[in-house]
Amino acid sequence: MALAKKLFFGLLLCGVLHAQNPRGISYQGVVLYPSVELPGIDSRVTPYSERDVCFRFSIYDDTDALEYSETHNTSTDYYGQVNLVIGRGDNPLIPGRLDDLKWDGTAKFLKVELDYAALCTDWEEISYSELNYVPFAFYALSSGGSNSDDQNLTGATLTGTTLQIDIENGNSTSVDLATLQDGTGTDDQNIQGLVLDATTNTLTVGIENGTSQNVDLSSLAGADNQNLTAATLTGTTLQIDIENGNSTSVDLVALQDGTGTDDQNLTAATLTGTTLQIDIENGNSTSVDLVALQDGTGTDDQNLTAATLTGTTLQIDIENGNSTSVDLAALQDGTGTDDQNLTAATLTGTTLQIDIENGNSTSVDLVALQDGTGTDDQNIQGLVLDATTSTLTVGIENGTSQNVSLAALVNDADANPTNEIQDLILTTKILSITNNTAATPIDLKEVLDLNDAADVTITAPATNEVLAYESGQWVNKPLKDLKLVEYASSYPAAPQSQPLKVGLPSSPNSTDLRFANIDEVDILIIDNSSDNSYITLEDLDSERDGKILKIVESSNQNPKITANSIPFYNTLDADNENYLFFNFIKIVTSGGDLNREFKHESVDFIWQGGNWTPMR
Amino acid sequence: MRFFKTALPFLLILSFAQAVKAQSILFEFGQTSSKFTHNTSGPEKTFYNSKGQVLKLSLAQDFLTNHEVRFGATLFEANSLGQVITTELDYETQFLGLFTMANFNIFSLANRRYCASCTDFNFYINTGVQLSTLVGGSQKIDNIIYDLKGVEDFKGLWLSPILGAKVRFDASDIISLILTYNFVPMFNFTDTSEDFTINSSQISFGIQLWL
Repeated sequence: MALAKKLFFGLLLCGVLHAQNPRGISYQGVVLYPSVELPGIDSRVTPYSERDVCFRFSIYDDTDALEYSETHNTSTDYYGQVNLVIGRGDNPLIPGRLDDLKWDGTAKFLKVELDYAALCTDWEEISYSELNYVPFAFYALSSGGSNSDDQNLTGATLTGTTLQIDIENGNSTSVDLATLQDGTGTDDQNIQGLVLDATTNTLTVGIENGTSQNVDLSSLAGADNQNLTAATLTGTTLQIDIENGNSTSVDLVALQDGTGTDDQNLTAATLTGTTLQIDIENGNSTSVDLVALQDGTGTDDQNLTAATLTGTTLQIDIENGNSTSVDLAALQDGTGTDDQNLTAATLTGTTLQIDIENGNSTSVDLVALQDGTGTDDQNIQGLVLDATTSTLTVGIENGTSQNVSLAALVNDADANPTNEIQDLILTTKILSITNNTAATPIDLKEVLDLNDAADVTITAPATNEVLAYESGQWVNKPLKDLKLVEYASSYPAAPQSQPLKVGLPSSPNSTDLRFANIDEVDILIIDNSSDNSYITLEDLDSERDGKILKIVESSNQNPKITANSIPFYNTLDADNENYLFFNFIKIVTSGGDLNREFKHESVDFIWQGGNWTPMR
Repeated sequence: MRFFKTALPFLLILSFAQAVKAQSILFEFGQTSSKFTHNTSGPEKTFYNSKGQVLKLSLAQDFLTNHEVRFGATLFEANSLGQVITTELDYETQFLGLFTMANFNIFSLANRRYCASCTDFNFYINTGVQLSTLVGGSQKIDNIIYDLKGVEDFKGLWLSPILGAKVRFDASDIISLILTYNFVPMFNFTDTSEDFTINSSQISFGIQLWL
């Protein structure tokens, strides 16, 4: 509450108003919005300007008993000021009107409360103070004494921000009006620092103890180099326009010939009797006597009185004149009517006869519309296709034949029309086509199998030779040119630069697993020179294409060659021959069983496409 | 939202730097409801709750079977409306803070509808402490807006105890969904010249990724 009192700056001017009813105590104050401590930025003290507020004035006696109370709904002005008269408020509370109180000279206290929200319900106490001096003029009124309450204010002196108010027969009081100022104390600042910036056309106006302002004078700036922008002649008025300036107009009527214009129109022609009066625009009328144009009878207003058609003769009668006749026969065809109809049209050959009602027929020869032969039923004939030139000749009966080039339909890359149809020819095992030496021949031996026995020639290599595939063909090569693989428990990877690796067991037996991993050899030569030899080949189905297995059978021994899986598997036939003679081998391939008899010859197998295939 | 965008990369870097050591990483977003209290002499001031947003990124490590200890960063708004006499007040503030929290599992409820053996509802009581600082804010008095950054009452560090609850739904072996409510009263222990506190309630939804 104490702070609220601080926050309200009240300028209390009290005076008893008694010249009128009801009487009252004038009260003037400035309502300031208080500086409130807030989180962050505190609110500032500002005039509570142009807001609705509600005041409550209460008067207590010296025993603190309430004697009078009233409220005032009012509005502050721009400066937060209010001017009220205590005693003229709303809702005056007990015990009645202000002037009914006992103003007997005992102390009375005035409590001023304010509701910022103007609801007259939420009161902030502004002051509670004893009434002094002027209000006690009420006492003067009620006491009937010699004193009067008709004092006048005798002076109001402003010194600095302090306003001293003097009153007749009373004490002066002072009020500090500093809060109404802007803080600097004077309003007598001078203009200073007038600067004109010709570059930007800006005038800077400075003020003492204030902030300078800039004025943009560019709209006043200009030059004397304006150009005439237009000249427009409207009637006799010439309007001249200038750049960045106002237009001006000149009336050129004085330059005319006096009549104003030469484009006058005749406005009227009036015939009165034989006098023709002609009127002209902007000019004088003139009259012409046309009596000389008359025939002496005085009038030219005869009317045609009759028109009679007799046959083809039209007679025209005129008032006061002679009739005249006109023969209209030339307009007719002689028969008297022009409404004939065509009655027939007959075409005989190329002759069209046209008949007309009441008239003579006429004929027209339409032969010129024909091609001369008289019919349109020609047939196509003589279709000839010249394959050499790809030209189709289309002939027509009784007409001229036309040629059509079909070259666009022929895709002849070599532009040689003679080699389009060719034959396949087989030379030994080479398949090729005729008439095209550039075509690639196909060697069919690569696709033949042993069923094509008649076409297979197996040449047994000579002693100490192997069959090798070099440069696109199989050749016999001396073993001395091959790299032999000696016995080892395992074989490291051979250098890829070595083109051919050969495994050559001298005396394989059932426990010899040296060829368990034949990855390291390209050619394995098995020479069954000893009895009961066993060779077990492992991982045959995982070999790479091109690996060669060469079996050399030199005597009637009983080799047993097994593999861990098909497709290469040599199981000797179930008959006893297989154990006595190695002259029949059953080879299982992916295409089915392949029986082949080997007698004292060698056979080579190549790993190709996942199968061991006999080599041809 | 602008301060979320600017601070998000920082939070992501922080999370990845610690992810390799954490058992789970939590990403939460939600709303705050805050109200200022400012007890000074003078005209009565009335403050009202105002909503804001909150973003939290934290790492969690299990301890004592099913309890969790968490450490993380948070970016949140603490807004409040108010009135003094006839003047309307509107505060919008953004804070960046670090927090550590212990989540005590009070009971679990199996969700056998989806997974009889591995899916649970877990209920936690949260306690912790948060240290935060103002990163941006404004105060509007009768349509005049002031920047609060560096203003005495707001600058410095704010200490906050945290008390709340959390529900965790284990959606799979690697992802859990979490719903958290925390009451976070904020006290500025750098500036104690005024009796000014901010009471903030935060409710957030998020995911917990198990590393």
